[in-house]
Amino acid sequence: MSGPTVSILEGNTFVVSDRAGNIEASLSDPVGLFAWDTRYLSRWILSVDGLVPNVLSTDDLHYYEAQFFLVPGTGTIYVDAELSIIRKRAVGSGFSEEIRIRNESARPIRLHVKLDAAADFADLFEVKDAQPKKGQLYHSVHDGRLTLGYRRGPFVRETLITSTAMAHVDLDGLSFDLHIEPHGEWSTRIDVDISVGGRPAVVGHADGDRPQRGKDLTAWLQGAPVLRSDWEPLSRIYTRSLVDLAALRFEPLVVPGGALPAAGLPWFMSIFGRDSVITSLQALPYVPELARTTLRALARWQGTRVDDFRDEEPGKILHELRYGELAAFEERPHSPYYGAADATPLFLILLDEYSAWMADDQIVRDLEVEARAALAWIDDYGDHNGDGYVDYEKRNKETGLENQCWKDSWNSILFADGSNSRLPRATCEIQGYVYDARMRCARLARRVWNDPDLASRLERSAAELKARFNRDYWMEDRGCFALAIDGDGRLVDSITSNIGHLLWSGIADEDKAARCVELMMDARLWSGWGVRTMAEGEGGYNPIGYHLGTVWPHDNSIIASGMARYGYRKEAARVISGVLQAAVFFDSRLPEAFAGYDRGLTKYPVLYPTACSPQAWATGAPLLFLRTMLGLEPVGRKLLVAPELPLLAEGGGWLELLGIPGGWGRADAFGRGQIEVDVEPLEATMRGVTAGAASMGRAAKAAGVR
Amino acid sequence: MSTTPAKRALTVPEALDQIVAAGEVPSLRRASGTYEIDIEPGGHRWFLKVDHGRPTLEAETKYSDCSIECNEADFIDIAQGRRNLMTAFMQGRVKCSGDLAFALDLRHFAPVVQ
Repeated sequence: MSGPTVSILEGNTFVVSDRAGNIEASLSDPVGLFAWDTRYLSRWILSVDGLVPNVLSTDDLHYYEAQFFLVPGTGTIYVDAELSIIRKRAVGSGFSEEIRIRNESARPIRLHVKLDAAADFADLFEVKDAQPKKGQLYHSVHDGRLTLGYRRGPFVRETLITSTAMAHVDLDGLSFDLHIEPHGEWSTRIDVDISVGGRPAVVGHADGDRPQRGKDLTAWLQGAPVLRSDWEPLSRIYTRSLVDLAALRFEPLVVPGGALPAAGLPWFMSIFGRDSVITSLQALPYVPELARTTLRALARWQGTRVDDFRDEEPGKILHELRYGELAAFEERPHSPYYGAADATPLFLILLDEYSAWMADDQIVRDLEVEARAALAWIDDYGDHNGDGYVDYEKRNKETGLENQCWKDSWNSILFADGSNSRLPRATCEIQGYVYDARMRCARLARRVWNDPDLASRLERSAAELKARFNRDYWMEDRGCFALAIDGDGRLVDSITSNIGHLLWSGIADEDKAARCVELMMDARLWSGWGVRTMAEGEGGYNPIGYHLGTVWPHDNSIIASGMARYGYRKEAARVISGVLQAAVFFDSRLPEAFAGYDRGLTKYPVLYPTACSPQAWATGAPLLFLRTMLGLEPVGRKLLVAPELPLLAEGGGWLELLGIPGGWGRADAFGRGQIEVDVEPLEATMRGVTAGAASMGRAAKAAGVR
Repeated sequence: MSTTPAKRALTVPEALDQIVAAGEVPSLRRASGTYEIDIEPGGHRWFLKVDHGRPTLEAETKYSDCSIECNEADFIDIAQGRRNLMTAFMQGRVKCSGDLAFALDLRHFAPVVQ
């Protein structure tokens, strides 16, 4: 089945099929109907007279709906097909599929149509493993309904399949013996519902919800600010981000009716502390309700005790929550898992930022207990070796995460000679987040909690941390901050993009920030499309290594924001120009990461193959870029606009963002391109490309390049 | 998987009495509502009311914010922190209906049940 796939989703239910709409799961093909981290269909194949039809075309109508146009196989010699087969699928709590078969000929036809169905109920973590199931699979037919089930003690999951048209239902699926008149049509709707523990996962099925979802998406887009610009690709990138954010909305069980950004489609449709917080921060000026739900959900799940298995500690904010069989039976720790050292200070940063943006003190009062617990976690549990820096070392030695920072691959925290560092690791950006969290909470303590003593304590500890950090992490010979201090107390001396986060948080001294900016604009870190995760020339550098040299759009959005914070608006504009130009080559959707090859070498950004698209914080990157370009900051109940834009298009380019929501109600922002950046003009880049990129034609056309 | 050491076996009324006797739970100061605790088999039912973190036992009430249905051993394990409520819920050992967020707040009482 290997080949292009089509994914549609709603909440944490998603369907991945081939381009004909069929599902045939294997170890190399992680396809199926998934909900609550379980695969409810692993086989779903439509055949006509024993043959699988060929694909004419496939349309992703919306993120929750797809349509497949098929004709019967006619072998290698072209023969006019006499049948049209249209499958239209919409996902909801399960999915519904409308199948229409049209007889295009002038004679009646008889057909045997079959839908093969099977479910392996694999946990999402098992999908690519060949692990045997510990429970029993079963299936039954009753009153025209096929039930595929799995039972492991009290853990019961079922897939329920029915058809509106009369069907012959057996344990392998549904079949139909049809007689269709000349130019006639037959249709049916198949409902595939899922059941969790004997109860429907959600009342109703997919098809009945479809009009509501369409309205919901329209309302979502209408509620966001309107963007106008004479650099036409920017409008497309912006709309793409908003639609993708809508698709990424996930309703947590603990905040009914609210939605937060899940980390990525399709495999990370769940709450992730770090990803949900950063995406909420990026999206704050556009859809602030995401931040509100994120805060409330993460607060509900805040750690309450020491639990080695889950890496849980009192006050700690979760890393990841899963609902599948392995989490349920504690064979994986994600119920939830707390292995992230940065999510807790990031939670505090979001609390203050949301409160400031929306002029909403109530949420700060509501979450005072949780915020104080988070501050206490930083002091009481965040520092494992007592050196005064928040670090991480997994309690769960078997399945816990090795690296509990945003660069969470096992080999991301390397010395300049390429060797690995030892745990516990105190990465530099986490110290920045802690500094920022303390400064922000000092303001909250003074203004909302009426606790000036706490405010003073936090300000003192933040100032002390900043002074110590600038002394201990600075590497004069390399002209930048170390990536981390490791368990042996050694400076992890690779040059990495993490230094940009230190500007975002404000922990870097002014003179040191200047040197960091200079370094990020140097060819070792600057690829021409963005700042690499690791500098060329470092021992671990690899332009296609996950965190070892690739360019991450979300990373760059934080870096650009940090540069602007310190007054380096030209450099910020350069970063923004580079990444937004790259977005054009990716059909307006920035990927999680792309290769760190030099722009002059490849002429176009080379896609790094990742599991998820869209990825939440890559989707949010253009939104934070816009905020940085326009210099949007809340000041009381007013919106401060201080635009400094790169020259986006011929003649300078202009940008309007209308109806920005916040504590001021709605406000507009305008800006005109002023900053010359020495990023190669997109048009010139496009002309330089002759072949090789599959999407180049589309991208160039989309950018208005002839 | 939990690292919590084993505690003495209790009955449901004993566990609830300990929760009430311990008084206000500071981390639940913002939480108010009523748990309906249904123990099967046997059909025994208790109502634990929480008013800004302060628990009391109530007689039959018309309204509960969430109901938690399970057998006695599982409830005691959850009350004492030996069994994780979320995984028990996901496994199907415990049925929760109503406000799931409030149901999960039950874990805040675990430290006071011996």
